[in-house]
Amino acid sequence: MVSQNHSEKKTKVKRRQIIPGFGLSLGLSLSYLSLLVLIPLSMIFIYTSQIGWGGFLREISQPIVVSAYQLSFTTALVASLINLVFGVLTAWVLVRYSFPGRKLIDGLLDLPFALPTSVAGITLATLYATNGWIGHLLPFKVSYTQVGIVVALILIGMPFVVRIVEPVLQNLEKENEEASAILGANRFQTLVHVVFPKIRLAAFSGFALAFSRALGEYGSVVFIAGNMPFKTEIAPLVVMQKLEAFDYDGATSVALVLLVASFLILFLINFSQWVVKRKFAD
Amino acid sequence: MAELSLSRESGGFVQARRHTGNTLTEPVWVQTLLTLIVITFISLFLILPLIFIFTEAFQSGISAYFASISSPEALSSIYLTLTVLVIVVPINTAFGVLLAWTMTKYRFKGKSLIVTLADLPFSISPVIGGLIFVLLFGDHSILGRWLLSQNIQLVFNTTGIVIATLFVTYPFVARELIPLMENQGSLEEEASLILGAGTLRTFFKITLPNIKWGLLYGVILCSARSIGDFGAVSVISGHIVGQTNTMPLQVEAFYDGYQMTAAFALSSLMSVVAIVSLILKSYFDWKNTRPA
Amino acid sequence: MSIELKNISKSYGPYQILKNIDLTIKTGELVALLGPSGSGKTSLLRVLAGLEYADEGTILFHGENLTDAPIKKRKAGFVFQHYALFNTMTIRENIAYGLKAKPRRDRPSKKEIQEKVDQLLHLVRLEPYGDRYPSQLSGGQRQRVALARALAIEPHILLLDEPFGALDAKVRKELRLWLRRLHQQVKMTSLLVTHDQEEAFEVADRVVIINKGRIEQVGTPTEVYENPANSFVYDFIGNVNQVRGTISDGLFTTGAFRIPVDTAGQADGIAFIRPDEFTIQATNEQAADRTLSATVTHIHPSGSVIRLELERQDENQNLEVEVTKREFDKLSLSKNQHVFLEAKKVKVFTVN
Repeated sequence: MVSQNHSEKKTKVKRRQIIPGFGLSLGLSLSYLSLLVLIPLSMIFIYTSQIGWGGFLREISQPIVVSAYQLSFTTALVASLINLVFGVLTAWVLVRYSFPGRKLIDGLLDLPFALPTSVAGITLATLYATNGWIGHLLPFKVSYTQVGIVVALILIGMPFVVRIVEPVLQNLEKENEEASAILGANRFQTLVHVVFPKIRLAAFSGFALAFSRALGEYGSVVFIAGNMPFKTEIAPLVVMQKLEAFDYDGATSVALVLLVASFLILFLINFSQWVVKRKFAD
Repeated sequence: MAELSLSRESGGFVQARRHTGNTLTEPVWVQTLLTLIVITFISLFLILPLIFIFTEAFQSGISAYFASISSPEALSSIYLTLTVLVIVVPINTAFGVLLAWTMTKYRFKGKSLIVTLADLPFSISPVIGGLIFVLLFGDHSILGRWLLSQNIQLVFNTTGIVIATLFVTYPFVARELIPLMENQGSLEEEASLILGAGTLRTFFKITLPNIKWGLLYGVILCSARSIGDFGAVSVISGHIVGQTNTMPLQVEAFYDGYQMTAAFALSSLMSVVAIVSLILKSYFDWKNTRPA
Repeated sequence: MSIELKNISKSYGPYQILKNIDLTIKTGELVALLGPSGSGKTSLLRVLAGLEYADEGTILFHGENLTDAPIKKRKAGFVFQHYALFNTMTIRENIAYGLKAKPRRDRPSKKEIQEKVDQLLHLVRLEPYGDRYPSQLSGGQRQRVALARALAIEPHILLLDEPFGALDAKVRKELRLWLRRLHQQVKMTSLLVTHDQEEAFEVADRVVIINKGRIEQVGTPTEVYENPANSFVYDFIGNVNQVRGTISDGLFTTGAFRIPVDTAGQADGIAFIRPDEFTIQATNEQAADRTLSATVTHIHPSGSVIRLELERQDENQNLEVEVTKREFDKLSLSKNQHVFLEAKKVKVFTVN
């Protein structure tokens, strides 16, 4: 009690944690993340650097690879745009309207997350085959065409936009819309000027996640695509085939481009959220 | 008053939610049209395929169905999938909870970078998830060459499947928990610490009961992905029938061999698991949002 | 247990929220930290509890340096504004939590814990509610549970962070009288954070006025009210008229109003006059210097005190004056009447 003199001096303290155990928690978390995710992922970069820049460019500029990239990007883009439109619509209908079966549909929306992709793949392939339940009703071929790829990608990307937009719509203050209506805006103007700006960021994030997922999707697509080189062969399948042919240089180079694309999309999502947070922070 | 009760919102197929009597919504015909579009879209892409799986599975009768799911290939795939599940899910649940705890209960720089990195397995191609372990444990890396020289084979077998599944299912628990725990804040934890409790007691007595429904949903998603992963496991399994086929791979094998009933029968099992997951999810959501 | 804070400073990024705080709280005292929102009062309380760490300075509990001590070592009871009750536990479990969390050698037996919980439920008058969950109680009841829970571990000091802030006015008033009595009973060194001056003055032995991370004044409620140390405190404590003017040659002047001040030289000044520190006169007979001439613009005739709004005649400024009902009747004031306001008590501060 008496010996307090040593403590009289100013103590400059570093920022500490309130709950004990920070070091252990962070250490274990980071070790596991590094061992399981970061170190293995870095293999793609390490391996590609061994091939060298020239080799890498040679691999990814093969006509078959270029056409696979084009196909993957186009189909992923089309599918996620469709999902963007239907996702916002579905979220709106689920949050704002009441109709028989609403709960069922709401619950089923997560099915693409829960159903194995290969199951989805063989099911769609058979349904949309020329003699399938849906396929025989359509005037054009779906299975084994690029349309089929889009169909599979729509299915697996369906929940993203809905699930991100839904809570935003739920938390929307009704007063904003009421104010807009009282100030004389019609319903359409209110939706465009008041509601839409509020869900824009969420819708974009959902779209970007669906796009990223679609770009890398493999299981559901391989069954319905038919996998004809230059026509219906997607980039992840090229990786797979190169691997089966023990062409590791090719497989890794093709994969690197996909990986970087995923990085960029994730970065874009986080960045846009960061910008918006900064802009509207209190 | 009498005029008000003549509201045209009564009795229609579609009604505006939560604001009965509120004029602030779209015309009824717009509501009905939009709802029908959504129902059609969902039916076409979700409900119809689901019905189709079971129709195909039982097309040749119930006995054929049971014969196909009890074939040696099917049984061994079920066994392998379950083995992977019981190893992967507990490990990733523990580390997922730990990651969410670290990210939400402590203040430090670089948090969003870690969260982004931890989310990578969710958004990159599953094929890449397999490829990286082939590169790491095959003879393309120093580690791989050393392992092989010690006769340790970590790819093209069950160990490889477990590792790849650990990778692809890693983000699910933390993804579910981080927003939930951020919302809850640390007030109760602070109260617990002030009352003299340590970290472990605070976690088990205070944090865990508060996050249990979200956690269970994360575990469900993690399990679903563990059962259903196809791309990563495809790469790493090396396609050895009867030995390293998981259920999704076995579905592919049956399908490629034109054994449609067997393919859809096995699919139907996984669909049941998926449906049960969705029901549990709705239940957990309901539990989560219901006031305690 | 006494508390000594020496030179405590803290910043969040570029914002310095605590600036060189020095404060001593005597054993058994109940001190209120009073300040507007964002003044740093809650941060100071959290620094004391160990929920935040100061960047600089020393904290002594009864002479023992606990600046860097973890939360546990401080043995502080803390009552949160939003209760922070454990929602998944019953009221009894909430109160028993701290006792059960003690290391085994200090932990009371099950029976002792039960008795202690009964005792505390009695203290906060919630005996019938022990087996309910927090969500089944009202706000005031929840806050009493929070207090019982904090007291269960027999803390050395009690820290209350706007404990009644989330409650409605009537409950707030009841609870603060109850807290006053409780404090007289247990005589525990206590620190109460509030932005409500009525609450601070009613409950506390001493009041600490804090603004923008700095202590503006420390004193008993009477001292602070009677003798505000500066213009901020004057303005913050209760209603006050602020009359701008100039100071020169030891005289504060605005219009015809002039009073002597201690300040030498030339400066701008503000005179602070509380609404109840005026005498209203129909004619300006004596003390012309201390008088403002004004017109009644509004009369709020409710209650035992009548509130008048007036407009100065020499300047475009509104004044607020309070008179007792009796005086009001005697003067028989009416709207648009011209009156003279004699300031009984004026405090002048220079404006920098």
